[in-house]
Amino acid sequence: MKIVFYVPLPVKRFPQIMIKDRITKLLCLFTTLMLISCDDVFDVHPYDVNIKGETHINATNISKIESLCKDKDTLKIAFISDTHGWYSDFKDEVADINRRSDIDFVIHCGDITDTGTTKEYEWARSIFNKLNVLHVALIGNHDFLGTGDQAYHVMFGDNDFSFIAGRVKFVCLNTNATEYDYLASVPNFDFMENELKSDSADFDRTVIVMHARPGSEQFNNNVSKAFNYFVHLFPGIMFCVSGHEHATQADELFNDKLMWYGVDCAQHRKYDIFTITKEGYKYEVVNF
Amino acid sequence: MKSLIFSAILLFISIHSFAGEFTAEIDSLSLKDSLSYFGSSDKPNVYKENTCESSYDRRAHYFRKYWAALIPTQVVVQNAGNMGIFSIGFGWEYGKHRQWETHLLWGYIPKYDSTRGKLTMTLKENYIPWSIYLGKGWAFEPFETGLYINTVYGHEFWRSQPQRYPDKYYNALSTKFRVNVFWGQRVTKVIPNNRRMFVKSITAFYEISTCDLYIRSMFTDDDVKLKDILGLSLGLKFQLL
Repeated sequence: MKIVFYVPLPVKRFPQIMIKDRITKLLCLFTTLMLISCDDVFDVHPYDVNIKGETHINATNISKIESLCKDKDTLKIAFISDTHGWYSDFKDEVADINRRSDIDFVIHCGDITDTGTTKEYEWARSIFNKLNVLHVALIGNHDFLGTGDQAYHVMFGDNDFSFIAGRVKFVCLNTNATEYDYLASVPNFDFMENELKSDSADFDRTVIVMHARPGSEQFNNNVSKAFNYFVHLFPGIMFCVSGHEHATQADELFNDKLMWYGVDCAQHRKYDIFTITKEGYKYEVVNF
Repeated sequence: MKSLIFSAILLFISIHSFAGEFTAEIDSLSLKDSLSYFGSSDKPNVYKENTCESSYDRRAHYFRKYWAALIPTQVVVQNAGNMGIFSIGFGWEYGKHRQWETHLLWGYIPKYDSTRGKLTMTLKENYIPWSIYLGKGWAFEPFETGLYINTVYGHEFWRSQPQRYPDKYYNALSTKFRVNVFWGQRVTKVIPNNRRMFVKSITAFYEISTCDLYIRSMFTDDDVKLKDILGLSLGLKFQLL
């Protein structure tokens, strides 16, 4: 950036102008300092969405996961959730996952940050980066606060996304309808319909991942049954995973033999591992 | 709008809590001075000629004196400090040693990766316990501390949780208002009388600040260190009156 300042010519007869000149010089120096000031020491605003470093993490990691797991028969996935604010627990969680050598990738079920500030996103990202395996993260209700959803969009990507690992499709959905005051298409049925049809030759089974499950105060409960109906339309639907409740859950939510699993929060020092084989899947809760 | 009213009330309280010291310190005008200063001295004035001060004169004098106290005495420019990339505003000082200052600042947050740039407003209270005169018009203020409340304009932010959430869902959280604490140091150069144009003195300062959200995350988890939550801010204060 080129900054041009007007500096008045010094006229000796008027000492005031000399002073003005000096003040202008001082102002020039000050303004330049402020403009070129390195971003790290100056905090502009907690909700400034000035994201430095890695962005669009989900898209980058998804393409790597898809190529790594393309021909795998057995998948071992760690589901973590609600790490907001509990950074040391989150670190221990990551260390525990790293201790295992057989995990293929990690899915974070949302609530990466507590108040959606840009700093919190960057702190969380630095912990994610300690993982030896790839990860994707969903958006949780806390991640919406302030400009948090905008920060999520830049750092991680779209709120709804999907990928295929092995021959299993993972459909990750934003279900935080309360954050939009129920005015947005959340859950997005158009997206789900599109996912039903797209790449149908590449997958035979489906896993649905979301932050808040039907029945929670974040979900648009008016469409719970419609959502369940749509979920059942997916080829070979295996199970659904959610976070948000800060509890380990395993229920048939709609009494139709489809299992809905809830992943506990980092503070309770628990996470879930799903082992998907050709025959079915195995579910375990890990205490770390 | 609510935030504007809120800030105005705060400002009013802060000024009036010091009104006693304020008026005694700043306004050294006597009633007589006030009359000759504000009244037109060229024209014959019946009240001036009459040496007896009427109660009207006294009231007019105090009316002017109190309103004059609201004239800002300083202009402040500052960067960062969780109130935008750049903030500008005005302020007042008061107290026996003029050790208290109130600043009202407006700041700008650039767009960066968000959907748009945003405006902020800050009400800032400074406390400067010591000022060391170094000679030749230079003074050093080794310690400055205070609090400021920042509000950011935009539909994304709310003062307290909206109706759509269950009761106490985001307990004691406001995404709109931030309470910041800071401490810093300043150096002042007094401009000699014969060289003064509009500015009496210039103060350059630096401040180290953090906000309530960051302090909360530091107390929630030991992994967040003090150095992670502190930010630097540089500024200039121009003393006009």
